Amino acid sequence: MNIDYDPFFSAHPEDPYPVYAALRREAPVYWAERSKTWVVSRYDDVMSVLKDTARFSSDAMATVLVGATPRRSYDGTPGAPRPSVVTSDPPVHTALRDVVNRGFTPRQISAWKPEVEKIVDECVANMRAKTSFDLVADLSNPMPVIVIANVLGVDPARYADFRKWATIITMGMNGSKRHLGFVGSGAAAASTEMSKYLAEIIARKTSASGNDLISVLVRAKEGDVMTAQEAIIFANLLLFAGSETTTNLIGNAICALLGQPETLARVQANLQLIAPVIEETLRWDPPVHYLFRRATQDVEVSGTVIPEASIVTILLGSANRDETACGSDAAEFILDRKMANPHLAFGFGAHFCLGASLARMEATAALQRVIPLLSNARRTSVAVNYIDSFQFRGPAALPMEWT
Amino acid sequence: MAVQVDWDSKVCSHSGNCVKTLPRVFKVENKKFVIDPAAATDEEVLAAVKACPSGALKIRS
Repeated sequence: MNIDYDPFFSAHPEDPYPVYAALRREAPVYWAERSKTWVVSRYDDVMSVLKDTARFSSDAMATVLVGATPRRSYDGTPGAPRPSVVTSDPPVHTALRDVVNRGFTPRQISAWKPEVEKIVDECVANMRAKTSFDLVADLSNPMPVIVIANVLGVDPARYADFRKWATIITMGMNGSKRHLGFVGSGAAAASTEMSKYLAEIIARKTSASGNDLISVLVRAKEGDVMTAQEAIIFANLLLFAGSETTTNLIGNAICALLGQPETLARVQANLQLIAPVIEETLRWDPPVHYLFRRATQDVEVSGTVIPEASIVTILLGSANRDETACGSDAAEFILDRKMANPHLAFGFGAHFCLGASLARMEATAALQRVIPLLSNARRTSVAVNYIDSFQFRGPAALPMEWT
Repeated sequence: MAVQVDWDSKVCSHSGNCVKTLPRVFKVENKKFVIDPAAATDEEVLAAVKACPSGALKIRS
């Protein structure tokens, strides 16, 4: 089979999984010529690259996605902000992560739960007031943005701006406008606008003694803290990484259930099954399909030498479907799956998704309200259009009407 | 003797995997995280440590 895969050029929006299977089988370390990147697709290889922060630098997340200047890591210039927690490597990453972890402890996340449930209820009330609705536009898209915006103390009047900025940044970073460049696509301008607004909020917070996220991050406590400039970088990242991904997790879970009426009926009869629905969705159809790393030296992976300085694409979406790690039925959505190995939807190792617990909590709150409603609603369009992104995956809309 | 487990609080991402999968061993008592490896078999403890997504849990060698 002649494999044609490229992280930024392949058009596999409806179903990327067959090409992933071919990659795993025939070319586990595949050279994608157009994007000049090595693509790693097997579970064990993805896992070992994720764990190996010394030989695989995360600075590629910035150089590839937003066209940042390549650098080994933070050079230590006094006063210069450190790179973000996503793009840095240990030991800078370890120090930053220690700070941001304080804002995302299980206790902190459970404290946000009533607020998240309230936001979900408001979205649902709005859907009920209409004859037809869109589960994406009316719930899975706005809810996570509002949650993060509340956590950061954003004015509700600006929510629509945040959604607009996030969409522009996604298209320019890893969607249909990527060929125009991060600047040419308008993504850089959107990102600057967003940072400018966040800077205003953070400036008001640096003197605050509150327990909100930004105050926790910038307040001198024990050990390291973030500078205001670093907090802006982080808040920008949060709004972006913390909204789009959860939107897609909820959308993909609903799509999976709508495609399996028997499973849906089982979950409707027992809402305790929402936890395994979320885990199996993360494995089977994750919101983030790949990450980037840069090889800091020649590294052999599954018999192929990846030369120093190469960009490596790690296919999380493929690893989760690898039969050797997830079983011979890896291609199926199975609620009662017993996983011998963890799914990699949130990554693994030092950069394991900071917001994993928040995403699970938000998705649980949304699905608890939505799943019962699905008995009184039907889809007005069976075809699913996916969002404008190669890297992120989720339905662009789920139009429904009440029955 | 049961295997010994080390926990690096600076690395931990608080995913809650260990407390959920093996609550007999990994638990929060008086707001402190405690590990009691003797409460399960070595195989169970090793599997939980292997599944720790952040790498904060390590088997003491």
